[in-house]
Amino acid sequence: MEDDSEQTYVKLVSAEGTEIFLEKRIALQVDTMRAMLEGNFRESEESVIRFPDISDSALEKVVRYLHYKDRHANSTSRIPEFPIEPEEALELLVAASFLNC
Amino acid sequence: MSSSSRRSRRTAAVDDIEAASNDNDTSSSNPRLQAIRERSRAVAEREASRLARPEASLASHKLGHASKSKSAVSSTPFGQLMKTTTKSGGGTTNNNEAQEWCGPFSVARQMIAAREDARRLRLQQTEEGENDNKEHHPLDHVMEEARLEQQRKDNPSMNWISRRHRTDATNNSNYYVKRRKRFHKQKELMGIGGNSVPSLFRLCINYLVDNFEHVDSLGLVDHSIRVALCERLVAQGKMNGAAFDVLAEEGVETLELVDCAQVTQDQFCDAIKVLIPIGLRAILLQHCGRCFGGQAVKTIVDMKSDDIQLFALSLSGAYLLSDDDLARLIGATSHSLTSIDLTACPLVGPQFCNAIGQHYASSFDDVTHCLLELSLEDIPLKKEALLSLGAASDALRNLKSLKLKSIESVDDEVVEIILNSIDEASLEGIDLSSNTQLTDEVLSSIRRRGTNLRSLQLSGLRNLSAIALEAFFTPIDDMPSPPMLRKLDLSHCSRDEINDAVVMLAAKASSFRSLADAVNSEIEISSSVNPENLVSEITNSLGLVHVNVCGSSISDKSMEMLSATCKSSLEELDIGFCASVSDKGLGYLVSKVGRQLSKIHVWGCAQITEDFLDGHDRLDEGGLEIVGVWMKNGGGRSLR
Repeated sequence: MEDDSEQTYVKLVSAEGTEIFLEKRIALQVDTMRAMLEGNFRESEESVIRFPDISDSALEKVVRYLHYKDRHANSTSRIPEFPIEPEEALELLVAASFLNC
Repeated sequence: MSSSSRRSRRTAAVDDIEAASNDNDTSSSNPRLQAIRERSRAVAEREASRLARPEASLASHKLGHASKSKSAVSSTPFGQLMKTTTKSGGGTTNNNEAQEWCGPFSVARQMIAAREDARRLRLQQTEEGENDNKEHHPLDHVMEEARLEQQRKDNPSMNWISRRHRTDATNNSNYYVKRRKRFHKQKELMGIGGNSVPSLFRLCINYLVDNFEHVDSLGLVDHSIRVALCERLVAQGKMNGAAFDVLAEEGVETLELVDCAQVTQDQFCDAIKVLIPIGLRAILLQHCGRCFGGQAVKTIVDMKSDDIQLFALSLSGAYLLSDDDLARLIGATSHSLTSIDLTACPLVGPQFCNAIGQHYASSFDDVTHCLLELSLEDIPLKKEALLSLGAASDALRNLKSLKLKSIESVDDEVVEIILNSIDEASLEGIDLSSNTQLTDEVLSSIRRRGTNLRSLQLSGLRNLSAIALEAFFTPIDDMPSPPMLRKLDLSHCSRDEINDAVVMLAAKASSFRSLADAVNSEIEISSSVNPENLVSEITNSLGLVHVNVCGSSISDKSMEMLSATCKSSLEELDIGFCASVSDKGLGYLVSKVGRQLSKIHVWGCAQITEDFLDGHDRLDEGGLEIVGVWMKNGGGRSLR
């Protein structure tokens, strides 16, 4: 767990082992991650969540989506489209279904 | 309007008397005159008390013709019995009727009816007594306050104050502005809505469906993903043969299609020829008329029975599926099929019932075939076929869930025979909605056979009476205890019959483990007891989860009982078109029940105002969806 200008981060580890840091408050908006972080699990102690089923590119895209959602959450103007590439669509769908986000 | 009809009735009676007396036959044995005299005497008797004191409020009295005990016409069979027990002159008929219905259930019904009549008589007398005294006593207002205080103690819901009044909310904004703000806030808390960011799942589904022609295969994805894709494809009108191929690819365990209208029979047969041997377990099709017919059945029947591992078959709208074909299908799949669900299949008939009776009987083959779930909706079965379903063999012995909905020929006898063929402890769910011929007798059958019942849906049965329903949920000596339900649906029954007593008894029955010792043993329910006092006796994990009493006459008292008994279990409540539930009752319910309560339907409830909608306790935390809010400014200016 690192403190970076008053923000706590959680570490997400993909299937290949790539680590991505995500702000904890954004991670808590995702149901599955919140369940992992708030229960009495190892993930909550170490602030590390492992996703052995989600590939590198898919996890990165998910994090991108979470930032996109956080940025436009309460905006009243028109929200720009979130781009999805055809190759990653199916895997992203499976990851989204798992994370329920 | 009521007074003019009264007047017209009286004038009609007077005319009749004059006409009869002008007949120049003054002998008292004239039957017509006698009848008229008796009729007008009856009218005079019941209206006299009210007519003598015109200033007494009409609201406290039920108009004579609207009250079941006073009016001469009564539609339910039980209503006839009630009439003969109260009339002292009907001695012999009373005995005959009592001898016909000698079971403990009907005895309980009679006792409840007698109690109701006594109570009504008592109330009437006390009201007349109150109206007698017109003098003003100096301590009148103190008495009034004491009475009000007692009422508040008995009905804790009267003390609920909306949050709107606790904090100083500005009342100035336009009603439409308030409604829009409330709607947006609810959508935002629920996570859906036009201006908020759609979920990643939704984005991916939409993207895939938009480009579905380029999708070759989905691979090993979860069934929920396939269903979501199918729904979106149907919504976009892109559900065609190619899409079907992708959705029904090799290795799926469940084939669930929301709309098969574009799938041809050849295509479907080719697909299942491949899918079934490699492990297709369930076929769930809607609008499958075009694709599920004789050819599909032939394909399945021709396979080796070892290959077929189907456990669930759900067909909706199979208009090409003939009776014989279906019977053969049952024969071929009965070794593994445990769940059958047919909706709107017009050709299904007695062969299907015979097939079930034959193949699921315990004496058939050495292997026991077991039917766990049978749902039939809108199938034109004749009564003989249904009777044979229950009587022919013990095919239905293990049934857990029975649904016979919208079938014209279902009546009390059919239900009795079918329920008798099911093992007592196994039945957990009954749905007999929208069968117009069912009456109170069906409640007696269910009570006798359904000891483990968890779900009871009797929506749209207009012949059920309040007395029978009360008896259903009351402990009776010779019968098993009332069921501890989790799901109760009594919507769209006769409005006056679903009243507070019924719902309160159902709520109590569902939350007490052994009702016999928890509540006092006599059948009388003391409705003046504050439900909050019951809290200590209730086990937490029990209670109703889904309650639907749309179109009933329940009031805030039921809300109080529900909040006391189903505090930690109630999740969904439908009180649409219930005119007697007020803001206070609902607000009290929301404040007492735990956070698992997620949905309240208030369609047609014009009396629910912003006091509740903008002031209930869970406004800020979200999670509570209120569906069906009245469109115009409610409260005092309702259209009623």
